[in-house]
Amino acid sequence: MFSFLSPIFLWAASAAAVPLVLHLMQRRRTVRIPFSTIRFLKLAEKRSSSRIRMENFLLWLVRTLLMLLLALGFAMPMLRTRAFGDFLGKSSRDVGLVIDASYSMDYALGNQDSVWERVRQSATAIIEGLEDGDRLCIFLATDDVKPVIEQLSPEREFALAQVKALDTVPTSSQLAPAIMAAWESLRQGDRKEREIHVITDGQALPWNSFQQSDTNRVTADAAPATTNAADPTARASTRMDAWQPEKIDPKATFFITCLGVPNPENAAPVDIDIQPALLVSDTPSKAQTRLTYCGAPRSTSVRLFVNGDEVASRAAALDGDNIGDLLFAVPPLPAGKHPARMETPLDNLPVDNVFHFLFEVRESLPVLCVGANDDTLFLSKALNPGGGNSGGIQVTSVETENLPGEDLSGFSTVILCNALPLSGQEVIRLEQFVQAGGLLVIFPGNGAVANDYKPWSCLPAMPTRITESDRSKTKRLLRWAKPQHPILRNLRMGPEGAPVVTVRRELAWDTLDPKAEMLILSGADTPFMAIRGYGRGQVLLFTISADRTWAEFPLSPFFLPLMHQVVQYGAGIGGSTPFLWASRSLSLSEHLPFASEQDVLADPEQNSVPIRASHSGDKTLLRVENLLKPGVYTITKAGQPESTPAFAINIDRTESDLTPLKREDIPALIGHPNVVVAGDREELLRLIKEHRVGRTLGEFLLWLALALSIIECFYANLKMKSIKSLSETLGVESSGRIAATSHMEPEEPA
Amino acid sequence: MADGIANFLTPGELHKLGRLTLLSRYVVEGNLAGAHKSPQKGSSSEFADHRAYFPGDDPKHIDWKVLGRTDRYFIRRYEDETNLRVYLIVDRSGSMGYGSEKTTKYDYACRLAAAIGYVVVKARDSVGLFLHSDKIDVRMDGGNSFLHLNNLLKRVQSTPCGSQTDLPKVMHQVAEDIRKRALVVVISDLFGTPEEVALAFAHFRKLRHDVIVFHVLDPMEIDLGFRKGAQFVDMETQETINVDPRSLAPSYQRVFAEFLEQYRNACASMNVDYRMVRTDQPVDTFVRAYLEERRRLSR
Repeated sequence: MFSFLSPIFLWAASAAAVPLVLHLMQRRRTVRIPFSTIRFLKLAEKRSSSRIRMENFLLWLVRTLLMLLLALGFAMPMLRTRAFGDFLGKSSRDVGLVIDASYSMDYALGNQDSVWERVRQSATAIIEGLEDGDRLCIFLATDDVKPVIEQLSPEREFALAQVKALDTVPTSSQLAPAIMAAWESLRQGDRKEREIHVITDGQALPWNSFQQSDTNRVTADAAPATTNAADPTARASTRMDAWQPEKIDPKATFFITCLGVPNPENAAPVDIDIQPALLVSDTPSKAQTRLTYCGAPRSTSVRLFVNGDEVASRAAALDGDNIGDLLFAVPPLPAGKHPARMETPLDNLPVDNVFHFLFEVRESLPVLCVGANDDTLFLSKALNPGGGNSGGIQVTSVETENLPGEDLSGFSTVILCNALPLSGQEVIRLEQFVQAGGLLVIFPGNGAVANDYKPWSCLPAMPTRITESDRSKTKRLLRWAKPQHPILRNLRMGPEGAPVVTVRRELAWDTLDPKAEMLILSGADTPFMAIRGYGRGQVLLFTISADRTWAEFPLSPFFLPLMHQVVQYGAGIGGSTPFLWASRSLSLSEHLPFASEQDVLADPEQNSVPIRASHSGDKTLLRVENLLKPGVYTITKAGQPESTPAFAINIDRTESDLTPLKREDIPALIGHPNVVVAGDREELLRLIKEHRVGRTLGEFLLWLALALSIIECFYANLKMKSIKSLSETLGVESSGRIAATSHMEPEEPA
Repeated sequence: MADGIANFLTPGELHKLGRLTLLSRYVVEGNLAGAHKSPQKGSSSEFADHRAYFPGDDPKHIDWKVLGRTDRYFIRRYEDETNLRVYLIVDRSGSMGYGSEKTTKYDYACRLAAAIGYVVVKARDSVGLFLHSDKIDVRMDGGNSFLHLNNLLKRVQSTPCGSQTDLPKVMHQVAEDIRKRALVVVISDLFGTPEEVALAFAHFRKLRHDVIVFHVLDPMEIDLGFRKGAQFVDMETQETINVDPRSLAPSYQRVFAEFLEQYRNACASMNVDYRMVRTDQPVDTFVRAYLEERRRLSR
């Protein structure tokens, strides 16, 4: 049974009469040509009339067939691929519509067109193509599943209104959870005809979760849900829901529509690294941005704005799908928080062109040195070599017995120089200081034995003994075990070359804590400096003392720069991060400890953002919801007229990688027997029609017409091929002599 | 409008033809002294044979050496050389009026006759003319002056193409008309029955005429190179036929080749010099090439 998608073209079938009409017209319009004698014409016709008639008949047949095939091909006949095709074509079905709403869908296509606009048009076409009685559910795929119409509904007008009101969200997206959610809705509908339509831009990223194995899924589920980790890829790995095709009915059909361009181009800053981590007023610094790019090679520029003013600009050559780092010199800034942004030129995806962050500049770095004067002498001199407020480091030295009287919250770093043993209460207080984000540096000394370290639970390793060095091995070369650690990464060595120190006595341990890492080794593998994260802070343990009794390290040229790095690092780890990723929920207590419920938080457009408070015992926890708008948020303290920058929010840059997925890979990723992939709305509608009604034979007929036209050309050319004329065959010489002697007949055409 | 030879040949063409001669391959019977072998014994320096002396013979022809050896009287005889008599037999039937380009076959035949006539007269030989369709329309005896040639060509010029043709009958009549051995030049499209025409040629040969046949054809007649289908009208019988020349051309060419082959074989068997002439070939070039070849072969 046939029906036609474009029956209007059936009128063109009348063109099949054209060859016959032309032939008849040709006969009627015969030209009279006087000829010397028709005797030979008669003879020739008598001999070959049957052959000529057959040839003409074949040509007429081929040409007529060609016209018919062309007309039929353009009329797109539909062949019912199933029994009762008409019935199935009109039977009720449930349709689940999953729309990728990540910000990459805002990719501009020129002429005020965008991928998102096409998504709306395709979704509208799908809904309008439903019959009465068909039901629909719609889900948005973002970083989470957002139901638009969760329960199957036959209300097409309502669905159209919902689609019209949809907009993208500034997050990445994963399609698997949304498809599973859509399937759950379809499953409850209990109809045999079920379709899942996925409209996306063809980006590979949303399909990542389809490649997750069960092992990955377990790992991801087990991982703690961090809402604002600095690494966006780490965040992505935690929210992947595994794809479970086995749960989906094999009779259901997937329609995947990829509306993006085949080779999208996008450049975006994806990360920022400020060096040093903590800035002190009136000292220069550096900002390094990471640039991601996809598309054809080209060059671009990145501009750095601080407090609204452009302070630096760098050109970058983008050669293919790549990630590159650009380093900017930042001029000295006064104390305070300074809003800044990295900006790339306007491109097809403008939403990720600006990367916001804050420069937090401190007036000074308060450091507490605990120990006797002799023990802290070298350290105090190293941290404050000029005697004033050198490099912003403000050193406070106290004797060990005066430690209980000090308020540790005023310091970013506490350095214990031969200060052990300490009372259990002081140990607990120092460990709480570390947990709150402080840096504790421990230099051993003669005042303590190995057992005095046992009350500590935050040490990178538990010392077991104090050893005397072999006389032949006192001079040792220091080696950086983790050169990329922030303490060592920016350490500037003096002109003396390789750092060599004399070690006479040292603290020794058997095993390093699993959470700790060795930063510096002395000699081949002897520990020198180890670090361990504890809560939000860090503990740094040296194996030598801070004075000259154990080693000559304090007199070495590396001591001063290393201690400066340690102090700056210590101040930095407790400080605020330069930016936060956009999230649906942010703990204000964690990132703005000084904030209160009465403060007013404003988004980049100066709209007020409500602060939610929850009480847990005597503690009040503050939260902010839906921080999805990128930019610098400001906070106005209660009773103060001036607002100050609170934090900078950036949208997740994972989505900026627009690397496309090959269309042919999608069915394998989904792993379902019925998957059809379309590249645009027209193709989608055609595939839907093919699925619901049958398969069009139009393409096949057009191919057949092409083959037939080739045959016609070949045959007609063969027939009309200019055979070797009799004049040439005879080879008549200029004297009239006929050269051919044996065979004068012209060749018969092939 | 120029008359006579000037109507058919340009001065340039005449200049090219000036040095050529038309030689007969056989002895001819002329009535004047000339450069061609005669069947008669004459007064040339070429010795022929001896014959017995009869009273009345000129004693100066007695071969005294033979008399001395044999004591008998013998007369020395020498070859006679006479002039060539050429008869141009030009077909003016309806089919000769065909021409796919500007020149018809009859025009071409007239020009060819003029060229041959010019060459003949230039060599002081005589040229005559038979112009025929289905009968002999014009007959002019031989003459060896340019005035005669001019008059002859004026007659040709004033006689257009006829309609019907009966080539064998006319040929037989001409053969009967020419009494002495001569060179007969037939210029025609030979659209008669080949067997009958060949019989007529045999008639000429039987009378010991040297026969040259110039088969004048238009290229379209040979190849049927028409591009579009048409109704072809026979120029002599006015019969019509609708054909598609492109599809018919191969068969037509085979038929036509057989037709040519028949003439070619018949002429070859009778020692008739058969030449096919296309009307798109310049007349002077053809005549020059033909006479050069003929002279080369007659050595």
